[in-house]
Amino acid sequence: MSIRLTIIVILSWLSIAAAQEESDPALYEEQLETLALEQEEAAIDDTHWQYLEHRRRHRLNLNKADAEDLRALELLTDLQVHQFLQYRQLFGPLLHLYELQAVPGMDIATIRRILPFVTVNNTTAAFEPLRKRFTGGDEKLLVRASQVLERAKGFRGPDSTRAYPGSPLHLLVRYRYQYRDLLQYGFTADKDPGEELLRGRQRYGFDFYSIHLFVRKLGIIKALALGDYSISLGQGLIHWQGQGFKKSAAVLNVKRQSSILKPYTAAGEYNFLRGTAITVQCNRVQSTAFISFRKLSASVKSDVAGDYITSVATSGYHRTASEWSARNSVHWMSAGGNVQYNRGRLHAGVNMICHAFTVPFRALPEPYDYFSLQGKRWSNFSVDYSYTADNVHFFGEMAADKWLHTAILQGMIISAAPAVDMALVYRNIAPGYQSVAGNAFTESSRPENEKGMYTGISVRPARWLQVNAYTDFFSFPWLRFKVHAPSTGCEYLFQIIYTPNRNTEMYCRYRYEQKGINRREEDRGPLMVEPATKRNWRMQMSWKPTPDLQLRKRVEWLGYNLGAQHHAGFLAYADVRYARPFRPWQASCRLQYFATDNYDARIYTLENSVLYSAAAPAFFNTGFRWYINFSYKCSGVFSSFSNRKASALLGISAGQLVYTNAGGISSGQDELPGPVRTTVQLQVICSW
Amino acid sequence: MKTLALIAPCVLGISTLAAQPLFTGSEASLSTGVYGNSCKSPFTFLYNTASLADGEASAGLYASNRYMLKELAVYTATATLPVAAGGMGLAMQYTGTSAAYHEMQWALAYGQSLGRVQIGAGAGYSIIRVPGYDSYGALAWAIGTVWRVTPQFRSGMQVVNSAGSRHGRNPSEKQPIALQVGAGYEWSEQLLLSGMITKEANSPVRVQLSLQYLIQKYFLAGMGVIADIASPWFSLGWQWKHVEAMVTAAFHPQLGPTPGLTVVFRSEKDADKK
Repeated sequence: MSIRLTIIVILSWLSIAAAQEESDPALYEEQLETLALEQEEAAIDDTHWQYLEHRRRHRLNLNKADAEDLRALELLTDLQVHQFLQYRQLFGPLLHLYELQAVPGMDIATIRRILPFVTVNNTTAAFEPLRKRFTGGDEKLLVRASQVLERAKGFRGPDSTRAYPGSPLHLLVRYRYQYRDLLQYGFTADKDPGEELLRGRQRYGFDFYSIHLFVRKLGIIKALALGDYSISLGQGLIHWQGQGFKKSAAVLNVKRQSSILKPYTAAGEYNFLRGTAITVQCNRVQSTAFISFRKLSASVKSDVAGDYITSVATSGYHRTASEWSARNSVHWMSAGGNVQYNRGRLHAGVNMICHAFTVPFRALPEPYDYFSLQGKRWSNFSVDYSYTADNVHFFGEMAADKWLHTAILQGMIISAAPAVDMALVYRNIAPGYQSVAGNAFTESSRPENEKGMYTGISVRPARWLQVNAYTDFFSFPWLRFKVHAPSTGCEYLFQIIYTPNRNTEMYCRYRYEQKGINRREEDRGPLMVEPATKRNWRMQMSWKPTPDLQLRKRVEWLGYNLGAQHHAGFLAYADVRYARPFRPWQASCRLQYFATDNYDARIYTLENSVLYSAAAPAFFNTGFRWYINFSYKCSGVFSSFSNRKASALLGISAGQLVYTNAGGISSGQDELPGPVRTTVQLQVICSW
Repeated sequence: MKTLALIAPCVLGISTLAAQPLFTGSEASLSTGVYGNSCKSPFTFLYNTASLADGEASAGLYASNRYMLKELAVYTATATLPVAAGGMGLAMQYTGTSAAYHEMQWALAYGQSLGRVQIGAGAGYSIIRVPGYDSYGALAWAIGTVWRVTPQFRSGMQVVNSAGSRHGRNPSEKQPIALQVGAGYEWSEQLLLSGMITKEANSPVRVQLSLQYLIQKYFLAGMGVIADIASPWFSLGWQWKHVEAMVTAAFHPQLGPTPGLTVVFRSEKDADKK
C-alpha cells in the first residue's frame, strides 16, 4: 500500500493530471462535431450530452463502476475498460484519481476527458427503500424558444395562402425526473418552425410528444423501459439507435459500444422505438426483449398494385400540406431481442429484430435502387462477440437479413506499446443486405453494399505530442445514388496534436478522400463515374491565457476536384469563452469568415449555443457568421415553493449569418428575403 | 513581347491594388516581425494592428519598384508611438505614377495590451485615380488580435473590411474582405520563424513563410516565400544605433524581380532594448 501511495504522490507532483480541471463542454466537443458532420445539418441528438451533464453532477464512482457503466461514458475504448477493470481487480480500489495515470492504456488525454465525469469513493451505499427512487431524485424542466427573425418565404403573405401556417418559433419543452441511474421518467414536447400550436391542425398542442419511464437495477431486472426508448444491438449491422461515430480524428473510436436499452429523451422525431422493453440478468446471461408500435411519417403513393412508401421523412417537419399528409401515415411495429453471455474477457451475443409496416416499401425503377428495402415485413438477425487477449481486443458482428444476404464486420484494437495504439476494421456487406435502422462503422450512412478495410494508429512519442492517422480503402460492389457504376474509394487522415502545456493545444490535420461520382462532360455525352477528391487542411489552436478565459481559432481550407473542375473553400474563426469559476455566469462568442467557390467546397463547423443545443451547418459562398452565448445560473429560486435546493439556468444566444456575395439564403419556402439570417435562442432550465 | 510584359503586370497590379486595402499589402518582407518580439518593425501594424500594443516609438520608409516597372512603384511611410497601455500607428502609401494609375492610402491604428492578449483596431482611407477615367475613394477598417502564448510563441488574427465597402460607382467594385491568421516562433532573440495565411474574397488562399536572423547585432538577414505562387524573397540589412536599413529582393516566377529598400528609425529606448 505504501508503494502505491508513493506512486500517487509522485504522480501528483509530476502533474499533470489536470485533475483539478473543471468540466468543460469542449472536452467532448470533438465527438459532437464528428457526430454533427455525419448528420449534416440536422440538430444533434442530445441524449448522450444530457447523460454526460448528469454524470458531471453525479460522478461515476470508479471503485464501484462495472464495464457497462464505463462504456456508457463513450469516452473509453473497450480495451481501456478491460485494462482498468483488470488493474482494479489486481490492486484493489483506487486511492485517488491521480492513480489513473498508473493504469495501463490510460494516457493523459483520456484521463482529462473522463475526469469531469468520474470520482473515487469507497463508501458503500446503504439500503434504500424503493419509494426513495420516486421521492429522492432531481427534477428538471427545460423550455427553449428559438426563432429566425427574418421571415422566410413560407411565412409571408396572408394566413390563407402562405405555405407555413404556424409561427416561425421553435419551441421545446422537456421535463425529466431522475434518481441516480436507477429511475428516470419524463416527457418531451416539440414544435418546429412553421408548425401550428394549439390551433389549426395542432389543436392538441405540440406536433411531437415523447414520454418515457426507465428503471434500472430492480432485482433481476437490469433495465425496464416504457414509452420511448432506443435499442442498439451488436456493432450496428442490424439496428443501432444510440450515438454511433464513424471515421474521425479519434482514430481508435471504431467500436460501437452502448447499453442495448436506453431511454429516449431527444427532440428528434424519428430515431426511437415506442412501446416496452426489458433487460433481465441471470448470472452471466443477459436477455433483452422489446416490442414497439409507432407511426412513421412517410410519403405514400398509389398505383394499380396498391399503396407503397416512396420515402420516409426523418426531419420531423409537419408544416406544409404535403408534410402534413405524410405525417404518421404508416404504422410500424418492431420486436426483437438479444441474448448475451459475458464471462470476464469474453462477450457473445445473439440479436434479432423484426419489422412490420402497414404500407410496403418498394424499390424505385432505377438500377441503383434494385436492392433497397422492399415489402411490408423485414427481419435481421446477427451474432456479435468481443474478446480481450492481453493487449488486443477483438470484436465483430455477423448479420443476415430475411433474404439471407450477409454482412460481416470484424475489428480489433491493439495496444501495441505504451505509447502506440492501433485499430483495424474489416467489413464486407453484400449489395443486397438491408436493415431498417442499421448504423455501423462504414463509409456509407447505412450498412449496405460495401467492402472495406480501415486501419488507424495513434502514437504519443512524447507527453506533448500525439500523432493520429488512419487509412480506409473501400469499394461499393453495386451502384449507389448518383454513382451509376460499381466504384472504389479511399480516405486518409493525418493529425499532429501539440500540447506544450495544459493551457495550450494546437493541432494540424490533413484529410484526403476520394470517391466515385457521376459526371457528364459539359452536360452532354455519356454519364461517367469519375473519382471526386476532397483535400482538407485544418489548423486549430486553443489557449487559456488565464483560468477564466479560453481563446480558440481555427483555419480550414478545402479543395474539391472532379475531372477538370476545381473548387476551393476557406473558413476561419476565432472563439472567446469566458467562465469564471464559482461565478454564476459565463459567456462565449465567435466571429467566423468563410469563402467557398460553391456548395461542393462547403465546410462544416460545429456551433454551440445554449446548453444541449448545437448544430454543424454547412458554410458555402462568402460571408461572415457571428454569435454570442450567455448563460446565468440563479440558485435558491423557487425556495418558497419547495424545500429542495432549486436553481435556474438561463441561456441566451444570438447570432447572424451575413452573405456578402449572395442575394438570398436557403431556397424554396425557407428562402429569406435578404443576405442576412438572424437567430435568437432563449432557454430556461429549472432544476429542483 | 515587351508590351505584353508591361501590360500583364499593370493589369494584375491594378486589379490587386484596387482590391487591396492598405492593411493587406503584398510586401511580404515587411510583415516578418508581426508575430515576433525582438524583430518588430514600424510596418508590422499594417498586417496586424494588435502588434502596436508593444508600444514602440519608431518610423519607417519603404520604397519598391514592383517587377522593375516604374508604373508600379510603391512608397510607404509609417510611424508608431507609445501611448497609455499600448501604441498608435500612422501610415501612408502611394502606388503608381501621377501620369497613369495611382493610388493613395492613409491608415491610423491603435493597439492595446490586455495582459497576454493584445488587441488592435484601425481605419484606412484610399483614393484611386485613373486619369481620363475616374477617381474614387473608400474607407476600410481592421480589427486584430495577437496572443502571446509563450515568451517565444505568438499567434494572431486580423479581419479587414468585413463590411466590404464600395470602391467605385459599380456596386460590384468593392474593397475585398480579408482575413489573416499567423504565428511566429522566436528560437532565440536572433532568429524568428513565422507563417501567415491570408484569404481575400475572390482570391486564392495566400500562404507566407519567413525567417529573420540577426547576425552579430549589426546585420539582418531574412528570407521567405509566398507559397501558393512560389515567389521567394530575400533581404539583407544593417542596423546601427537608432537606424536600420535593409535591401529586399523578391522574385515572381512569371513577372520577374521586385527590388525594395527599407529604412527604420527607432527611439533610443527601443533601440537599446534590441
